[in-house]
Amino acid sequence: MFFNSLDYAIFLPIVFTLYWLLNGRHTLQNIVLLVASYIFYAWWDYRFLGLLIFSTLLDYYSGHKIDQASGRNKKIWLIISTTVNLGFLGVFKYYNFFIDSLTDVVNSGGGSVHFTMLSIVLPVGISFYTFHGLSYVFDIYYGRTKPVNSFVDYSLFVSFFPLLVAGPIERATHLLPQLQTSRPFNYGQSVDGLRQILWGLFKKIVIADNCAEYVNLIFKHPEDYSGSTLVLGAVLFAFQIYGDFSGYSDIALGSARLFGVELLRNFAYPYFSRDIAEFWRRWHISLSSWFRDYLYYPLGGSREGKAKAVRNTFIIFLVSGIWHGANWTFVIWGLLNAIYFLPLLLLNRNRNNLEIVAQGKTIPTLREVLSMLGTFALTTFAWIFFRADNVTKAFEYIGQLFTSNLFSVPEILPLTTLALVGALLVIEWLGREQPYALRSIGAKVPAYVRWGFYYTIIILVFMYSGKEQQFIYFQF
Amino acid sequence: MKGFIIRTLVFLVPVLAASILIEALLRHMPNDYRNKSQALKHGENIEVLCLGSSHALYSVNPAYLDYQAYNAAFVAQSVDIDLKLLHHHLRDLPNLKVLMLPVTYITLAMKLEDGPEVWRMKNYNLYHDHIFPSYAIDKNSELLGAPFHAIYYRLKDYYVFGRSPLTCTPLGFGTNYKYEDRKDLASTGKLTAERHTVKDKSDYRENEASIDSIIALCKSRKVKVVLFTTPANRAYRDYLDPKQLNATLGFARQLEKQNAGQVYYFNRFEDPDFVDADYYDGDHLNDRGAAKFSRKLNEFLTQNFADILKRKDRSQSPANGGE
Repeated sequence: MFFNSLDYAIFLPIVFTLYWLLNGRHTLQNIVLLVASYIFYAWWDYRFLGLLIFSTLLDYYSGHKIDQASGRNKKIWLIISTTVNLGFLGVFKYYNFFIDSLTDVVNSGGGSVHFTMLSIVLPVGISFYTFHGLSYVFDIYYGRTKPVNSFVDYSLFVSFFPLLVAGPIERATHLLPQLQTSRPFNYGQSVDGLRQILWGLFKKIVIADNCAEYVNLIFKHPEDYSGSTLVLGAVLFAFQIYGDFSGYSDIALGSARLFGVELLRNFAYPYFSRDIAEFWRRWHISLSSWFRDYLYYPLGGSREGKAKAVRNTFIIFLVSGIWHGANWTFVIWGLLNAIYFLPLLLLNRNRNNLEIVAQGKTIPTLREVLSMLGTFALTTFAWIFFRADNVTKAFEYIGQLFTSNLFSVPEILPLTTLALVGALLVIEWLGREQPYALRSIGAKVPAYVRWGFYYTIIILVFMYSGKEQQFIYFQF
Repeated sequence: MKGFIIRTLVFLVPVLAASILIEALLRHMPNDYRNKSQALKHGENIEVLCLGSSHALYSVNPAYLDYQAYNAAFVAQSVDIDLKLLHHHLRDLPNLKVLMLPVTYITLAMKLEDGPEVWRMKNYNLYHDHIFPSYAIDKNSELLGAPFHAIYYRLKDYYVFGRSPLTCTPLGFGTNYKYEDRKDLASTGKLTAERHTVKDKSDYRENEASIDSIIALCKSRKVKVVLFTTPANRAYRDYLDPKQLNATLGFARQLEKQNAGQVYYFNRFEDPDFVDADYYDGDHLNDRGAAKFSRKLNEFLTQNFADILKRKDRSQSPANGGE
C-alpha cells in the first residue's frame, strides 16, 4: 500500500490504536508492529514475504555466529551473510542487466551469443532491507554492537513498515536500542509525527506528482520541444524526485514517530547546498552514510593518500549509481557525481560547508545564492541521466537542450506548478534549521493560524490527488 | 493519549463534514451511469443492445436504428465490464435479440481497472448495483474515487452554473463529440495510436475469454451477436502496430467463422465513405459520422435480422425526419 493511499490512511490508525492500547508493554507492542509490518509488506506482494523472512533469519543467525566465533570463522560467517544477501539482490535486480550487457559486448566484438533472460519481478524494498541486515552483521563484526537476543526485535528492525520499502536505511546501533526499550506515549512527539506526515503528503502529492505530469510529457518526446523547455523539464524532475523521495521519507519518519520511534533523517534541504560535497551530505543521507561507513572507510577512506581517496570516492559513487538500478544511466549518473566531487577532494574543500547555509539569517549572501544555483545546476544536469530511459535518450535530450532556442520562452509553462515549487522553496528556506520545514510552526504561531495552514495543505493535497505517480524509489 | 486522539478527531471533524457533504452533493446529481442502469433494469422493450467503450458510445446512435435499441456503452468500459453488465441485466432484457459489441485496436489490451480511467470503477459500484464486489473505499465513493479537479468542475458546473452533467441521450448515445468541436486529426491520431499500442499483452487472454463468455451467454438466450469495428481515420491507422491490429480484428473474424449464424462481424475500419469531417479525433466519430455509421449499421441489422427484430414506428426515426 502506498503511503498516500486510502489503504494506508485506514491501516495506520488501526495499528496506532492497537499499539497504544498496549502502552508500557513494549514486547507486545513490538509484536503488533511486526505483524503489521508483514501485513504491510504482503499487501505489496505476498510472494516475497518468504524472502524477507529468510533474509531476516539469515542475518539474525549470522549475527550470533559472528559474535560467538573468533578469528577466521568470524569472517566466514560475515562472508556467508553478505554473499547470500547480495546474491539475492544481484539476481533479482541485476541478472538481466548483466546478461544484456554481456550479450552486447560479445556480439559487438564479432561474436554471436544468446543468453536466457529471466522474467524476474523485483521484490519491493529488497535494496533497503538487504542493507539493513548487512549493517547489522557488519556492526557486530566490527564490535560496534552485540547481537540481539529477541528475534521479534530483530525482525522488527529489518521490517518496520515505515522504512521497509524505501528507507531510510537504518542502523542497528540507532534503531535497535529504541525497539528494545519501553516507549511511553508522548503527545508532542505524536503531533510532530502527524505534522511531518502532512508535510510529506504535500511534497509527494502537490509537488512531485504535479511536476511528474510535465516531466513525463517532456521526457517522452524531447525532440518536440525547445532547449528552454528541456531545461524546465530537467528542473521539474529535480523537484519531482526531491518531493517524491523526501516526501516519502517525511511520511516514514512521521509514521514512526507516532509509535515513539525516531528514524534517521534522510534529507536535509539538499537543494540549499553550496557545493556537491554538501549536497551528498544532505541527499539520501542514510544511503550515502551507509556507503561511507561500510565501503569507503573499510577501503581506506582518505587515510591512505590522495590517490586512494580518489579511487575510493569513485567506487562509492559508481556503486551508489548501480544500487539505484540496472541501467547504464545510473552508472553514468554516479560517475558524473564523482567527477563533480573530485576537484573538492583534491583541493581539500569537501568539508567546507558543514552548517546550513545562512544560518541564523533570513537572506543569503550573493555568493551563497550563486553557489546554491551552481550546485543545483550540476545536480539537475546529472538528473537527466537518472530520469532518461537509456543512455542514448539521455544524450539526445542533452543534445536537444543546447540548441539555439535555449533562451526562448518554454512551450510548456506550468505556472501553477512553478508557483507551488516556489512556495515549497520559501517554506523550506524559512524552516531549514529544523529537521523538517514545518517543525517550527508548532512553536511560532497561534493554534488557529496553525490549523488554518494545515487545512490549506489538506485542501491542496485533495485537489492534487488523483494524478497518482508511483514513488520513484520504490523501483529501487 | 486520550487528549491526542480527541484533538485529532476535533481537527478532522470539518474535513469529515465537508467530505460527507461533497459526497452527498455528487450522488444527488443527475448521472449517465444511473440513467443507463435504470434503462437496463426497465429494458423490457430493448431488442438491440450496444455495449462497449467510447468507440461504441460515440458511434452507435439508436435514434437512427429502426429497432428498439439502447446504447449501454461508456468511456473505457472494457469487455470484462460488458460481461458483468450482461450477466447482471440479462433477466431485465426479455426481448433482447441482438447484442452489439465493438472490437477495436485497443479492445483486447485494455481493462478499466488497469488503465488511467480506473476512477470510473466506482460508478459501476455506485450506480450499477455493485457489479464489482469490492469494499475498497475509493471504488465505492464519488469523492474518493475520482480526481479532485474533476469533482470540482462537476460541482461547479451543476450547482453554480446549472449545466446538466448528462452526456448521453435518453437512448444512451454519447453527445460530447460534436462536429463543431472536432480536434486536429493529425496530432490526436498519432498520440492516440501510440497510447493504444501496448507491449504488455497480459490482458489479452482474459479479454478474449470475456468475449467468448458473452457469446456463450447470448447463445444460451438465442441472442445474436454483432461484433463491429468502427471507422478510424488515416491519421490514427497509419501509426498502428500491424501485429496488434491483426490480432484484434483477426480475433473478430475468427469468432464469426467459428460461430456462423450466431456471431456476425461488421467491419468498417477502413471504410472510405468516412471522410475527415466525420471524425471528432483520430479514432472517434463525431455526431455526423455517428449518424452515417448508425445508418449503415441499421442496413446491416435489416439485412441480417429483419426476421427476428420488430421495426419501431418509422415516424419516430430521425432518418425519416422524426426526433
